[in-house]
Amino acid sequence: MNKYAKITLDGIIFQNPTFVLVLGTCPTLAMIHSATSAFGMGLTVVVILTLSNILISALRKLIPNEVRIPAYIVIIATLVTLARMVLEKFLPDLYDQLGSFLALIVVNCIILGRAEAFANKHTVAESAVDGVATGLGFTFALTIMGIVCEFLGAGSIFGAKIMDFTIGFFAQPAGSFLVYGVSIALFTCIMDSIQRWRRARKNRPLTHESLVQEVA
Amino acid sequence: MSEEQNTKKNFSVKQFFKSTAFKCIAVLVVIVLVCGVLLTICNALFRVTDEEKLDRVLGSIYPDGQVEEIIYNESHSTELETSYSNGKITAVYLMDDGNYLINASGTGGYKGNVYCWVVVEMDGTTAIEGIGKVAIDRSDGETYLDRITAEDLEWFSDNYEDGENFVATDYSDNTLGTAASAWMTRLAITNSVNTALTFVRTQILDEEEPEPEPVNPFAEFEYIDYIDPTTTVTLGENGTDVIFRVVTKPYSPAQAFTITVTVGADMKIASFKIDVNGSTGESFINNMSPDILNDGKLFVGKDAAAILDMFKSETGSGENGKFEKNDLEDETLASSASTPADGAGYSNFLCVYAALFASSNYDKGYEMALENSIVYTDYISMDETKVTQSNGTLTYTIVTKPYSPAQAFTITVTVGADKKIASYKIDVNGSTGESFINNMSPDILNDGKLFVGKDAAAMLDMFKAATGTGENGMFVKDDLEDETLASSASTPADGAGYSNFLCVYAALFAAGNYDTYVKLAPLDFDYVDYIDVDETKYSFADGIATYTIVTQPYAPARAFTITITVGADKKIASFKIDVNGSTGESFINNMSPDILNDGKLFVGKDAAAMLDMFKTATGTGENGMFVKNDLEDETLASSASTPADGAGYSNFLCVYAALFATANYDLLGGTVA
Repeated sequence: MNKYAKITLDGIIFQNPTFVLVLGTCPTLAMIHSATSAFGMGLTVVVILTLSNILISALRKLIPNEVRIPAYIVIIATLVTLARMVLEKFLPDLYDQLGSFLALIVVNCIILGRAEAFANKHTVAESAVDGVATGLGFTFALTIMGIVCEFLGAGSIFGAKIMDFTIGFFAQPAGSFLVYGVSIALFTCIMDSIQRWRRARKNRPLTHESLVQEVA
Repeated sequence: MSEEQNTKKNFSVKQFFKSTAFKCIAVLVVIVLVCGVLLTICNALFRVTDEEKLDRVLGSIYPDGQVEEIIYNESHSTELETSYSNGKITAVYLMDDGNYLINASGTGGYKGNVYCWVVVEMDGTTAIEGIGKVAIDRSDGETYLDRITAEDLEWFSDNYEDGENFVATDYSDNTLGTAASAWMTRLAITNSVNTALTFVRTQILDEEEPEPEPVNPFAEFEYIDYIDPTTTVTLGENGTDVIFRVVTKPYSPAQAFTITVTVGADMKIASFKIDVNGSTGESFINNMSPDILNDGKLFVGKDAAAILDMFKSETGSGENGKFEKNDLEDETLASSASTPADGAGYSNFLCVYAALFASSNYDKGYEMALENSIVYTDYISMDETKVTQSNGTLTYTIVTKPYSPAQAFTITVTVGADKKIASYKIDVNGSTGESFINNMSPDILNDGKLFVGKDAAAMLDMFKAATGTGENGMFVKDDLEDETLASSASTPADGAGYSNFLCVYAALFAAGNYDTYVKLAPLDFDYVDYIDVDETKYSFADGIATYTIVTQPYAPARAFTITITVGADKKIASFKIDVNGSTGESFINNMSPDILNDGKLFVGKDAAAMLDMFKTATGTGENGMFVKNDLEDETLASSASTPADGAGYSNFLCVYAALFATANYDLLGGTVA
């Protein structure tokens, strides 16, 4: 598989930051009460993660190892501040929705984690792809959980009212936590099934039909 | 040699510039500088100006409106009042349609204030028509602000009532939309809207600001449903009777009664007199029970339980502070033709209720009467002033109010059993500068020599000569025109006069309230860290001190209630655990059997003997300090008293209670037999 494809799939599925790495739990639990805010947070993280990965990868040979963490944090904090300014100027509704959690992206484990684990060891292009993919994986996870929580807690999806019946519990942090846990369990279950199927397929005895399939 | 040193020096400087440390510093500095410059440029490019913010607000709230006049904002000042108890006004615009667009903050949010734009719709220029729209502007950091939607905020427009403020919602009340878990944010938003309304009413329409609802002083009393808060409580001349001047609420058709009820220390009614009969006519008065009309014969000599017994036989109710007219179906009152149609039943009921109120609340009434009898309070901050007592001596830590230009003083005064000031020390001098401090009376500054050895009467004599005033708890600065303080240049212009006055007032307060505080002030107990002193009850009679001690919880153990008696030899005579605070059977079983079995460990021991039991381990446990680590003692080894078992905490609380009881025997007035 092409390395960029592998990085992309890892970021979105196999190393999903929410369901597999369990990073960024704080904004996850705070934002998934509503699909809109979850999606908005996800997109913001995509932008900041991509830019921080690019910059850190570009500067990786210049930044001494001893001060890499403070340097990364300064870069990430600058990007988050820039994001706040841009959102406040051009997207005030999203800015209001994200509230205090926008500033908290600075200490989001995903950003610093990918900078430390990937960006400072790979090229700019690879780091950019990793940033986009991991961010999209985060966005995908948050949005799915946001849809579930908003549907159960408020009977709507992306603000559009679907039904009157609601379960107040899912509009609260405890409900978000429950959905988060169940989502991780479901995701792990699905991935395990896929892995088992792939292993079974790999280890199946050779027959004429399977050989023909392989050759084809 | 110096050439070598020079070479070494140059070598190390070169080395430094090539070293990793320099590289680290340089890289960090460069990154920070570049980021700083970038942020500065972006701030200039992307900054949202006040005009833009206003345009956004107008775009969302007033798409077709124009600002006709800027009444107040950051760049336009105003003389109108903008600060209120629950928020502040930050901007006011008069729109072209005559309505007001106001930006107001509301207090009470989770992280602080919430700022909202509020459209106050006007009916011409003389009245408020309603709330047009509410939109959230910003907050000090509310994390659940996005849970309040625009639909939620429409609640204000739909529920405006003329002349009324919105009632702040509490956690359980979801009237403001369905924003769950955001009740503090809802409270702040409600306060913001109320602030905007109050501004328009008081500053634009010139209405009087409504008085805040007074706190009911009897909120903690029993049987208050039909009692008006204007009821007063005073102490009888004998110092133990409590006189309730009960004002009932009306109970239609009966109007309010005013009844003076005296309750003795035995909690029985000593006298009952109707001052104002609320019956609405002679016929109704005549229909009332004669046993009530004739100086309350029905109640005199009875306590609350006896009064309830009179009626309980019929309905079985009337306990736990609740008593209703239906509980009054009793033959005792049959002769009063107490049927609802005759009305006298309501009058009878109010009188019975007043008697129940008075007799059930003797203890609280006594405390309230004592507090009401405190004198010289005008210049004293009663909330911050503390009083304790020990062996008949009162120790006051008095915090005065400011008396401009002087600020608040903090003064420690002790008053002995002779009601004379024993010591006087200024802890915090409220004078506003060195010159004013120096201008104060030296007889006050030097440990209050002016007051030491004097009681309240003697101090008033010092000043009374000048004005003849200063009695009956009233003392004002003009009473201080006295030569005794002349050397302090105590003229108002120098300011020290106000400082002197506050010091004199504090001394009068301390000496003048000795009799009251000796009944009111808590004892200065030792070993209080793990004892709930407010809940603990104690009494002293015939040389025996009896305590019902309630400890504090000490996690994982909960609070214990233990009854301990201490004899005249200051040794524990009995020890009984009434409520075991251990969190389960296993922990109770793990406690020391010598404690569980009627405190055998403590009986016959005084405080010193108990400390000896444990002191061998750590050498501490004296001077009123005793902590769990002092309990490393084999005596309790059989109780498996390790923290993991939890019983160690239970054992500790029991030991601590025993120490408290024995160590404070003298304070309760005991003497060695």
